[in-house]
Amino acid sequence: MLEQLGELDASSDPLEIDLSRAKFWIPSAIVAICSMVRKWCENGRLVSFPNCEQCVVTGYLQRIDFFEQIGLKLPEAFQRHDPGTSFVVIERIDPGQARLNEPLARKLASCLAGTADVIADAFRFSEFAMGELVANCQQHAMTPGYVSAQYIGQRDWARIGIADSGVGIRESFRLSDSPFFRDGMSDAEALEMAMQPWCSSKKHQKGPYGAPANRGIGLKMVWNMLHQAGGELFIASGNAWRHYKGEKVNHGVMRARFQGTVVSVRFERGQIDDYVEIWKEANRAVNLTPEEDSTILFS
Amino acid sequence: MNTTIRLSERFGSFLLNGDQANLLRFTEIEPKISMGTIVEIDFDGVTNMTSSFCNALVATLVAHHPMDFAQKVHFKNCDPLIREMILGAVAIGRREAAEWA
Repeated sequence: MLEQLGELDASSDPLEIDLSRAKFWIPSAIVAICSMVRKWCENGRLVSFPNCEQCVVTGYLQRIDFFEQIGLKLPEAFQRHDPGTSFVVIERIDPGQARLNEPLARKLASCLAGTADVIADAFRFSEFAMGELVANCQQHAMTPGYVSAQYIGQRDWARIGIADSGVGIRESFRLSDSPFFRDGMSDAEALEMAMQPWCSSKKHQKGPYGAPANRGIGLKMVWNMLHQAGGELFIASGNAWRHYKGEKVNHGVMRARFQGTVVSVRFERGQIDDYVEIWKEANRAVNLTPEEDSTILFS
Repeated sequence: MNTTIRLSERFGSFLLNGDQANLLRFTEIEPKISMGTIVEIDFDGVTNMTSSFCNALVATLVAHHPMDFAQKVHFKNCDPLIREMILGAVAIGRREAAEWA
């Protein structure tokens, strides 16, 4: 699907999107389409959804505010109700200073964890993952992004999708004057670099306060925690993608470039039973072993 | 002399923004440390934080004061998770201090 979006992005012709064969959508696909359609519309491209009133998936897309986010008002033939913990409507993430706010983080984590108990293991796990992924989007995309979450009870699957139509990972390394960037670096190389610990494109930027806000370990820690929770992570940027599941890492190159970055995360809620232990293991995975005498810091 | 900074009063229960942590460190904590004040960072009411916030605050302080950090900064009311997050950031700060040395 990202390849198709990339191919469509290469043209400025009017576009008709046919939803008639769609039955179910995962959050990353929804937000990827949302980010591209929003960009096309802002650039004056004509985008339409012919006969969408008759499509099976339309009501669902209305409930998650897909059409509203792309600026299309459709009459709603249903009563809106509280989605509970089954999904979170698509939310826009603005770049720069406007960060993920606490209410949104809480809403997303409540859906993924199935509880609003802020000290529940699954809640804290979800909140941390959301915080890291959304912060990455805000810091690197330079355009608005979109986030959505979903829980599939039958499979115990919690899913997060985040997408933007921004500069992409390779360009983020270049524009930041990162020491990790080199001329001729491919999207695939940049993506592989971004998944390495200690390799943030902004790690070298000390900013006005004399120190970086990023160390480049957040994404790697998120993946390690997901791994422990039976999860998987997919990330695509430009023409490259990487898929992490269990001990396997698959990667490839698409025939068309997706302008921006898409992240899809899935984990099993029931696998998160001791978040402190999951955290410790994630720390070990990035070679962080606390020193014994550090306990004197606490009172 | 001691001073206490209660993070939840400023940033809520989920500490998200590394830039805010850097600002707090730079404009309030570092000046107090330089005047000989012991800074207590109180995590009462804090339930979670991002690695960006934790590292911008804790790892940077450790990297800037590797020899006497433990005498200058204390952490209060940390639950087991927050404690582990802080210990991870201390390890990062120690690593950075060693790289700069």
